[in-house]
Amino acid sequence: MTAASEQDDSEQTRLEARFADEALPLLDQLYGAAMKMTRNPQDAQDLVQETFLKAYAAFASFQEGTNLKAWLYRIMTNSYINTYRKRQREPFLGAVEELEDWQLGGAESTTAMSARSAEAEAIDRTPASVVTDAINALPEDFRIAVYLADVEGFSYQEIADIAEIPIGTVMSRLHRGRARLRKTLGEYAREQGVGLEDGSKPKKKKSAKEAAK
Amino acid sequence: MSGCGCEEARANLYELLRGELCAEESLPIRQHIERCPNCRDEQAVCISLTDVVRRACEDERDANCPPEELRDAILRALGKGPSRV
Repeated sequence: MTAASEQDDSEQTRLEARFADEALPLLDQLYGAAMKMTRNPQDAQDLVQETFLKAYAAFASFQEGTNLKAWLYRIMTNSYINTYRKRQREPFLGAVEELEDWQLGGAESTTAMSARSAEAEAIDRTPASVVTDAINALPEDFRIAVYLADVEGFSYQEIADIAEIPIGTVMSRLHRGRARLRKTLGEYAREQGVGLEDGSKPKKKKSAKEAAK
Repeated sequence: MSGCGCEEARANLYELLRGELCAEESLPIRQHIERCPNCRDEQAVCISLTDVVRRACEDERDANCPPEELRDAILRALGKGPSRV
């Protein structure tokens, strides 16, 4: 064995150890995100496995000291889009995004709650299963953006890097995704009669003083 | 009068909450929210929505650990060396 190949081997060993120490502990977290992307355990497992193997193969090119979690998410998001999305035959997102504006008509205007403070409380009390169903029902680009932002706490710039889209697109997807969630949760609350409890009082035109309470 | 109008405040509520705005950008919005009860309520909705999404997803994640086989399969594949991929 040459000196150079021995050096390669020790470098390889060092990389393997680092990968095991730093990347593997993120497995649970990535699996959670993979479940939100694929919405089924078998695909989520395949996606996470593919992600880790790709990450391992490319680990030498990962710059130590930069954001490993974001790097792994980028690999996973990419793999998901390239492999799994094609199978799902979801409608072309462009069409969804065009529909959004007139469909939504602005989340605020659809809010028939007695007051927004009541809406905030109603949202807060929504059962977790209703929330996760609502998230799962989002078009996937919105779903992924909301998950990366609100659950993983990535910044807009990080999400732009992970999904390889402009930051303006990140903001638009988040905005639309949240507007849809708000609408769905609001509808649920109204079905349950939440937010209508104080509906015996006139609903509209609360004075600013009252609303401030 | 200090601060911006409702429209600008509404458009930036999430960015404010998430710390996406620099001090110069966030100041007029903070000032507006301070004196506008409607925008404060709107902000409360943004906070609730973010919280409820995070809580629900975290709970779901905690309740659905990846199966042991997944970790084992990854470790086995790694053991074979990166040239395999």
